[in-house]
Amino acid sequence: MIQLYHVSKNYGNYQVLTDISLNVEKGEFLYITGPSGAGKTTLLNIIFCGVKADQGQMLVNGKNVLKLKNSDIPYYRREIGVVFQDFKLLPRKTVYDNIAFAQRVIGVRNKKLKKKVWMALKMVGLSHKKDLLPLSLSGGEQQRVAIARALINEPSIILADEPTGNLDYDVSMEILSLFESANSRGATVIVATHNREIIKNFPHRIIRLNYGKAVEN
Amino acid sequence: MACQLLTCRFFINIVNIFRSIVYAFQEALTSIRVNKGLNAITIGTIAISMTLFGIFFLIFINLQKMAIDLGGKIKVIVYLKDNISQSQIEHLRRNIAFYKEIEKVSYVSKEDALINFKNKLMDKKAILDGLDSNPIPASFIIEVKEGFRTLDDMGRIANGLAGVEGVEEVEYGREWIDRFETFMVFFKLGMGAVGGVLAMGLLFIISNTIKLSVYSRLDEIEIMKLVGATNHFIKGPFIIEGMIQGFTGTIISIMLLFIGYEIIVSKLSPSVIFVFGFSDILFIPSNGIIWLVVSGIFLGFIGSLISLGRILKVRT
Ligand SMILES: Nc1ncnc2c1ncn2[C@@H]1O[C@H](COP(=O)(O)OP(=O)(O)OP(=O)(O)O)[C@@H](O)[C@H]1O
Ligand SMILES: [Mg+2]
Repeated sequence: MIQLYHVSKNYGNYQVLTDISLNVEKGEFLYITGPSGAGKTTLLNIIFCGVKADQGQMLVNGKNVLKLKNSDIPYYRREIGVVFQDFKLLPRKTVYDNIAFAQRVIGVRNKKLKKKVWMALKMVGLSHKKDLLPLSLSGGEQQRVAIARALINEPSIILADEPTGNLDYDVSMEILSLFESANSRGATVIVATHNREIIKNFPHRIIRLNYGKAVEN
Repeated sequence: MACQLLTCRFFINIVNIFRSIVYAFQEALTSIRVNKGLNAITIGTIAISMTLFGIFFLIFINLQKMAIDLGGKIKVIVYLKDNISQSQIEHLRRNIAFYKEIEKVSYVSKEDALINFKNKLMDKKAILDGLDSNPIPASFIIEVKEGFRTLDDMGRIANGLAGVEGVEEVEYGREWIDRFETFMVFFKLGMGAVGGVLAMGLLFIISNTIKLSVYSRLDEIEIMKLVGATNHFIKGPFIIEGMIQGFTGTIISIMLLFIGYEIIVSKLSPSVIFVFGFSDILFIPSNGIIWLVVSGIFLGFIGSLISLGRILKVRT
């Protein structure tokens, strides 16, 4: 499903990722761990074409991602649901519209869209805050909006960057079980995290990034 | 079957496009509501520029109408030779009736012409008493249909009739038409130049407003792209915002023009109108209004397209 061959990335003369090779099967659940600054976010960004790798090859869903035309990138990204570490919510849209946005982008009918957004809101427990703007939510609530947006289109790949960073133990477990159930429906899931508790409760394959290198645990 | 599938896909595409337009409209209205001040300034500028152009347009239309009113007084006069026979007169009349450009022909005999002339002279008509013969020629007076009161058409009619037997001379308001036509050509050129300059100015203003609108939302645009929005999807609301600005500005300018027109018409006393020889001042006709509104919307469309092309190209 996701195959990286000798991928490298540097900013200026700072080498963030060095010669990363990685193979994630369809339907797999994978953790990426590593100290702060290890390049977890960078790796996820490379996978969904947020930043471009300097070297190497990458196949996702059979597509040679580094060779995608600019006009194809939006369609490629729609196959992937991303929970960003900094959430990346639209500041001027309500919670409801932020979640609905992912559906509007792919042209879903209003009636169907409403139903799906309601379900997504209920899933992350934010139905009562649907009309608020992101900035009037707590960090954990914003994170749950980002998760709802990433999951609503039922993507075949889910990338989650520290999805429990701002959540307490109970909510973290609930969120993780959302990813688990998406995974059991066939989605390939990659979660970048420091959180040992979720790894302990939901054990899966782990890749550890260290000094730009990937080490299988 | 394949055909059915194609039709179906075509229909789905149409529905999708329609949905995107509705969405873009909602987004554009939201953006205008958020950037009220900036939009008010832009719409105001568009309204002023369009009003300026509209004033030229109004003057042009009324000059044209005046030309048509005056043109009614411009006639082709065919003076006949003194020795012309009755059958030649009939022949000539048939010859004239042959022209489809002609609205009305009237024959003025030598006697009638002399009486008209004497009436014009009024109290000085005694000077004609000494004449033993009538020096004034008989004539056909030809009125030409509205669309044909040009130098070319009237010249053609005059030349055609000048060669006919029994015709002494053909006269038409050649110089006057010539001068008026030249004036109208220059006026049209001037109007085109003013229109061009105003259009450039409007494009500049609209594209800058849209650019500011885009810059104030670059972070949002970035996020939209990350979620998989295409460039078209992102551009749509901005383009519609520009078109709404163009539309609103033009509508306001038409209202301003109409109010100004009503004031001028009510202030102009009937005598002034009489002196200048036209019966009425015209407002821009409905197809002219549609034309103005469409150009306003089109300017908005092009203006935002220009700024978006530049901005979105840099950031992919
Ligand atoms: N746009 C950039 N320009 C320059 N350096 C960058 C840029 N983005 C990331 N880096 C650097 O790359 C390194 C890896 O960053 P990255 O965000 O991938 O780390 P991370 O593993 O996600 O860390 P954390 O656990 O804190 O989120 C950091 O040292 C960071 O300073
Ligand atoms: Mg990170």
